[in-house]
Amino acid sequence: MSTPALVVDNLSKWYWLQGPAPRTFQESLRRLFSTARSDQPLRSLSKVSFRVAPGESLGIVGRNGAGKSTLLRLICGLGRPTSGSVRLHGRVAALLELGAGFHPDLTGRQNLYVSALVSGLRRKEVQARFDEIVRFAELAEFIDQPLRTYSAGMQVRLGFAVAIHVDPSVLIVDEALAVGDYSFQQKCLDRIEHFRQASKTLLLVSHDMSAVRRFCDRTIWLDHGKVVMDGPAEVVTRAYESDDRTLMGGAASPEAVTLDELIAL
Amino acid sequence: MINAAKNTPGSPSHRLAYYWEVVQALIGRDFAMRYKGSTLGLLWAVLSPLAMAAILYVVFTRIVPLGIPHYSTYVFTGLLPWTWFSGSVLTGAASLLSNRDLVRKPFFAKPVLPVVVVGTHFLLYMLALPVLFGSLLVEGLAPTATLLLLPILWAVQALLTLAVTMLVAALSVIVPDMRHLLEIVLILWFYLTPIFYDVRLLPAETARYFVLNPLAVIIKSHRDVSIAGLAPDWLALGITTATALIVFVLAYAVFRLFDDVFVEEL
Repeated sequence: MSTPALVVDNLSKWYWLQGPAPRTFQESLRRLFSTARSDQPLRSLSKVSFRVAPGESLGIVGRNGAGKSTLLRLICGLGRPTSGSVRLHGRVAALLELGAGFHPDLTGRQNLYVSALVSGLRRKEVQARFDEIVRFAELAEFIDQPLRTYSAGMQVRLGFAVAIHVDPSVLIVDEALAVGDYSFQQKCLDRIEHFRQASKTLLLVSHDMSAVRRFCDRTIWLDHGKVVMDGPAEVVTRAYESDDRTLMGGAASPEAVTLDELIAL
Repeated sequence: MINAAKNTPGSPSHRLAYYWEVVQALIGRDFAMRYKGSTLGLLWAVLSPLAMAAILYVVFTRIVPLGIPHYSTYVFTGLLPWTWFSGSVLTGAASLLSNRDLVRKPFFAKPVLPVVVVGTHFLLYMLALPVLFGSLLVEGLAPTATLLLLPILWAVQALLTLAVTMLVAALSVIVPDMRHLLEIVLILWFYLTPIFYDVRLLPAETARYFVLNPLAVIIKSHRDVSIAGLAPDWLALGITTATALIVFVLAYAVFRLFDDVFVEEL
């Protein structure tokens, strides 16, 4: 058996939510000397474990707040797990948040250069791929404009173009693609398909179940920070969809009860 | 605990070459932002220390004469290293906070940021250095061979500056008022460092405490090699290097402890 591309082992992440900001100096002093943290931590992830083999593509689905983004951030080394560990093998490129990794006051050219370099390319490699990245992002006319003048779509195009040209062995995409226009989305999807055929590893977080079914062999369904299902993409996405429908129908699923309670409040 | 997959595989020397490229690119970007929308641009790297030195010169030769010979060279040899240090520390305090875009990049090596700050300010120092040589000539001080020892002083100061910069960068993440505190500390430090005055003007029992200030030792060494044509006091410089090394190890540990806290606070 070959080394897995990704091993997530018993990963947990708790956040202690902050109360309202102290209004007075005395209040902030009192807070400084009180050891009590807000009583209940937000358990964003609880003991999540899975492995991804090289060449496998894994979809991650779940409602907003299920812990999908926390999981991806921890995989990418952003933040420290409360417990558990993440091990990755190979070069990773990630598209996590819109515009993350770009500086608004610098031009597209400067941002592209720094971003590709920081993603692990050597200077010569960046220079060699520069024109190709700009062409892929369809930003030739705007590449010398500051990034703050870019639309959300343009930022995603640049981000995706850099990520795919870093030549990663693991690509992590967090639904950011939804911002691009139709033709660019198709182009990205083609590129992801290509990427998959080259036996590279893909992690895709999406609310678009047809995209998950198209690109992923396997899917994990996260709910309240826990893995509720891990299996073939077809099976898991269908189960998730039907659960979503029952929820909307107000059937007696545990989540529905919580929601009803919330509404009652 | 997390085994952050290094995105650049290869030997340590390979990795070092890669980080060197990253540092260079980020220093370039620092310069691009620093002088964006400025008419005189890079000229300010010379003009600001020159103006500051002119002020000190007028005050301490005309208004409160201190009677220090070659005073313009004397002030430059103190002011330029000081500006490198204090500029780095003050900018560095915000280095994690003001580089959100990089800090949020997967696997970005955050210790690169203080290195970039110290590197940027070192280049600013280098740009202002011709003024010092100009001053040497104007005051009729022949450049001596001991000037070739300057790179040693730069190395010691780079280590010290990096250590302090790293420490304040990490502490700024958990101490919200760090910048305000730092401004006060730096003003105090400025006056406790013989930049515009000479320790020899002070009573002996006060003067002996100045060896405790690493910057005082570095600046005195600058004056030894540039003005007096002497080798620096190697013992004092050695102690300063050791101090810098200890602070650096401590600072690195603190930096590693807190650099993640910031990522999560976003």
